[in-house]
Amino acid sequence: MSDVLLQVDTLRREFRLPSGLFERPRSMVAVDDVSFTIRRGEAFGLVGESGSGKSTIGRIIARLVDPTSGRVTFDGQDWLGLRGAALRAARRNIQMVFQSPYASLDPRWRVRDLLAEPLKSWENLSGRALLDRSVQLLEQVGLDPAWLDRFPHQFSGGQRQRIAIARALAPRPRLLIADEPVSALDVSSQAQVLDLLRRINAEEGLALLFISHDLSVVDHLCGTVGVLNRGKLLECGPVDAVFRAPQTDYTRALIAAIPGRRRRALQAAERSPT
Amino acid sequence: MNAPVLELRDLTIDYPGRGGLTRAVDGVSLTLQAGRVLGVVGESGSGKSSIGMAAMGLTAASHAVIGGALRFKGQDLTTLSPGDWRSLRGDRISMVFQDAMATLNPVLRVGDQIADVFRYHRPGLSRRDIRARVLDLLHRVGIHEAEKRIDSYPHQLSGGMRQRIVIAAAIALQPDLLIADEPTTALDVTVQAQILVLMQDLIREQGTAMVLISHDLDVVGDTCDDVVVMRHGKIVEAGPVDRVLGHPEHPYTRELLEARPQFRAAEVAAATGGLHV
Repeated sequence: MSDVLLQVDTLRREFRLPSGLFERPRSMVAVDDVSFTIRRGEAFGLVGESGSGKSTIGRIIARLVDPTSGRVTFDGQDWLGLRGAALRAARRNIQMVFQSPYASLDPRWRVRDLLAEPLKSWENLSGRALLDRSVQLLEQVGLDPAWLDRFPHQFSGGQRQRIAIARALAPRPRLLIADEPVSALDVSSQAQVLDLLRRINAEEGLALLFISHDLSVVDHLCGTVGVLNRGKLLECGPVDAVFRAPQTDYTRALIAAIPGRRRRALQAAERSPT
Repeated sequence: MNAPVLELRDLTIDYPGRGGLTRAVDGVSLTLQAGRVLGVVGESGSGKSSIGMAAMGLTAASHAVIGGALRFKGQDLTTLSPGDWRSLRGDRISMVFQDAMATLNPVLRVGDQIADVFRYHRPGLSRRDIRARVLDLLHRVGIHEAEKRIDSYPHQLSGGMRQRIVIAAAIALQPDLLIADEPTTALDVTVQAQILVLMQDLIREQGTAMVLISHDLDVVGDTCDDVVVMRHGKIVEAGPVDRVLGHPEHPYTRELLEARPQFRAAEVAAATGGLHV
């Protein structure tokens, strides 16, 4: 079995810009010949600012958007070639968690129903088995199974995001794509959700594509990182190498802009009293 | 000694709701001296934004009940008439919000929106004077090709440029107090760093005091002189930034500091060669 889970090869996506009747149609390149590899069990971070194309790449891999050109291979299989019933069956392998759990959970559904939907359609569960697996998923994401009959509005943002993660885990995916999963959350909820993602990745070996503008978070969660700017992958490699010895001015500027300079200086002074 | 720019004594703010009053701010006292920068940190629901709204006289619309003392340069703000508020707001006290797109009027040119501040508060100025001042402000907030941008509409500008426009309008009359509520939360990191430096420079130049409201202790740490940490409407810890960040006393402050993953520091300084934005 190959070590490679997902291979992205010269992926390109152009978007047509609105133009006038007699204007030549123009297009904008959102993803510009991007290639990278995610190994089994790896936590891969994709960082970049808004408009860098990071979300578009995630959405192409999740098969929510089609690329203009390029190839994606998942577990040796031509992932973009899948159509119809084959695609529907394969979707369980790559699941996604979005930024806002306020938007991604139907407010009129109880947790029980939110979890039952993927479990019924992917695992064909019902009755006792359905309940058992729902309870197990809630426990896995650190929520009280007694809350099965609650509605999303009865939870905090961090708890809602954990429900969204439980839903994503329901079909037992091989790759979890998390697109800015903590940007909409309070700091303390952020820490809990990041901890959960780290645990799922480390303990269960679920590969993670973590899309974020937050370099500090990627620094802690991921082993590998790719830096995107205007659709181009500027550098890609082990987090320690890229963040400790950045090769491009853009990566250096991103690192220099991370807030917390004062606090880091204070900590550095603590460590080496002069 | 002059009266502090902003002074809160046992301030309480209650909002009416279905089940009676809900206390958002519960006995907060703080003092902000001229030219200082105070960070107010807390998570959502901590009451940090309510303090800014009260100091800007914007709580009336939600029928909030204010108790305790709220003073601006010695003047009691709790008894101001709507007319008094209108002459104070935008002139001596101004505010920058998180969402510049929502702050700006989408159908007016950005230059006109900055000019409105002068037209309202300095009716004696000629159109020519106002235009010159607006152009000067656009330069000061780092907008390139100001002569061209003055006629742009908000949607034609990037998020960072829009926030610069909002800041230009807020500092136009060199207010004594600027309240900035999550001014960079919607922006990219590199733009955030630029805007924070810009705000620091501008207020230092003109001696404006600032209250920076943020959920991000690191943003506050890089920008402010003093900080108060709020939780459930109360101040749990207050002091100079270096003391609070370096030696937090309250467990909640420590929790907030620890919750935020730190970019592993020393190595980074080496990697960036001490690069500053």
